[in-house]
Amino acid sequence: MTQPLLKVDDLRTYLFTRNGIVRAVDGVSFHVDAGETLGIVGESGSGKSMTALSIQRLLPRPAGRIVGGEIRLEGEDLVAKSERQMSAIRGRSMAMILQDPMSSLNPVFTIGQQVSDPLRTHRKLPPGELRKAVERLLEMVRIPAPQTRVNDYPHQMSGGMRQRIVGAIALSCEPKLLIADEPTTALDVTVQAQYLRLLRDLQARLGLAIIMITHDFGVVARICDRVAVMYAGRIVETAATTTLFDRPAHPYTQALMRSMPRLDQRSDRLPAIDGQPPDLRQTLTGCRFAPRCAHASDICRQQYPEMTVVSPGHAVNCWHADRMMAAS
Amino acid sequence: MDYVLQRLLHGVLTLLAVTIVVFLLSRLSGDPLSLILDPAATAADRAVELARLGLDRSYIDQYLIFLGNALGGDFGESIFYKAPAFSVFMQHLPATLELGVVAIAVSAAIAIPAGVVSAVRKGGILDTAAKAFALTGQSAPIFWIALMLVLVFSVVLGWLPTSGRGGLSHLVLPALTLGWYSNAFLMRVTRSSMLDVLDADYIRLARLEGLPERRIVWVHALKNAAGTIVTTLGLMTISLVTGAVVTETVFAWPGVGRLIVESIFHRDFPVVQAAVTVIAAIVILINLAVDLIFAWIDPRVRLG
Ligand SMILES: Nc1ncnc2c1ncn2[C@@H]1O[C@H](COP(=O)(O)OP(=O)(O)O)[C@@H](O)[C@H]1O
Ligand SMILES: [Mg+2]
Repeated sequence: MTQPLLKVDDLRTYLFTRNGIVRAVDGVSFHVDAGETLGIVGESGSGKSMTALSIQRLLPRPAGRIVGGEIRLEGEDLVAKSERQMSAIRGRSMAMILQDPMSSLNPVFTIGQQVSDPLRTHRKLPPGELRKAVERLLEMVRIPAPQTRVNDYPHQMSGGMRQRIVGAIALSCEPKLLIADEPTTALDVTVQAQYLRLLRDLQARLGLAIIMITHDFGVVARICDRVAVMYAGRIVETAATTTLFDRPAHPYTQALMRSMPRLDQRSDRLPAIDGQPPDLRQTLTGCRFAPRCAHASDICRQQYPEMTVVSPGHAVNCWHADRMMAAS
Repeated sequence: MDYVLQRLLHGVLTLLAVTIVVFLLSRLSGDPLSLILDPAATAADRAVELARLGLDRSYIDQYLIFLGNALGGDFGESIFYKAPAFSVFMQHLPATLELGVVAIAVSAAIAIPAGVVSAVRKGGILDTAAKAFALTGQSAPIFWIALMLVLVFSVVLGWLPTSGRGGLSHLVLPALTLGWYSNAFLMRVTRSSMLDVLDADYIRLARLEGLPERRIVWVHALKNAAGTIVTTLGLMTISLVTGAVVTETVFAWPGVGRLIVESIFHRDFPVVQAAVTVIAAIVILINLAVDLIFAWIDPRVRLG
């Protein structure tokens, strides 16, 4: 049996704040195979970003801490790595793209300087080759006239272009895993579609695995092979994308899909479901979605639902999974 | 280029405004003739002298003459030194520059790195010590610091001379006094602008790229904070001029600070005017330099 590229096991990441302990990630398990795209979907505040930052070991300091679980990248446990070892892994074996292209680039350095930074650090390329490599990367993300663009500063570029540059930086050292945290949320619809197409092309070319974090099922439909649905610090349903769209088994997934904006609309609003997600500082018993769920029964409120495999590759944490499947 | 021209024009206009203020103040400060003339002079003597000095003309004429002379470095004769006021000022300038340059250099070399480190290790030992230092540095009046330094290093320990200008040993206490306040201030500015920058997305992204932490802090972050730091350095340099008045007086340092104080006591207005105008010109030049350095560091200012 081949091991997955990334395997996350019972990850628990808490934020120790002045106002209490936020259980942002509370027992999350999933895997990503080489070359595939896994979507992580959920409302704002469900712990998607904290999951991503845990994998990168760059949690907000000093509050954030991984308190339990394992994160294995190519079999090696990242939780046990030192800060030094992580620096050698970040940018080389795995990379990450943040949500806001306007604030992701350093305003006082040229595009060329910023794209060459990881290459200089990890590859130790001499200056002549470095310049060529940078131009090749800009070409790869379809920046027109890369020879002159390298001398530009971020504020001279559009949001779409900046996000492609961030992409070029992330892919510069040919990582095996790319984590993209809502990379298209801040972009216009047409630019968004272009960007996703670009990511797909690059993925095919580089054999890259992607974790696509989003709250937008439109993005999921375009790019993801499999999806994990996250709610209140836990993954409640995992399935292949087509399966999830055809037969969503968790009431939360169903509600999310119902509130999904149409594909041709700009989706910068969060999908609205009645009620509020729970306060992650409280000790929660039972299913976290029960207070907002139309199908909740006594057991839902008392005990956290075990994982049910409803079909191969389709797992859900819901006491009423069978009934939900029959209804959907 | 447009930007440079615009700043230059701004500087020239400010300097003109300063000369107008200096001119008006000298007219308000009383009748200059009573200082020059023998108390026994007759009304006729007065009229002659008035005409000779051009004081019978309109204020606008007088101002233009003053401006023309000032442009040529002619601020009149010092009443106390019996020499051209401008050259009296220029003789005192090197001593002040020496003191100022040493104070600024020492303070930049200490305060900027200390500010960076206390931002990176927020709440650490250096940060706490720096905070305590900044508190005493900023709340204590400069003459008190001067006196305490003299008390400790000259009177009690006897290591350093109490006053006067001479070798390096004479420079230590005045430079320390002059830089004290600026040190504390510069460190706080560096720390707070570094804290802002270290929180930015692009710093997070630099860490996500696996760049060495040292490079992230001292290159990526510091260059972003540099604009604020340079502006502060400019302000400090300007405040050193005022700080020099107290420091030079306490340490009997023969610079322009002490010259201004003494000239005011001697009612030696030509020297005061020369000093104020030239210092204003220096301040304007420093501001101009700060603007240009800022634009050079931050492309958003330069490229609009
Ligand atoms: N720096 C922080 N300090 C304290 N709490 C935080 C911080 N960042 C996020 N949180 C909390 O952690 C939880 C998960 O946040 P996050 O992972 O950012 O959600 P998502 O990315 O799914 O929107 C939320 O309840 C949020 O309020
Ligand atoms: Mg997020």
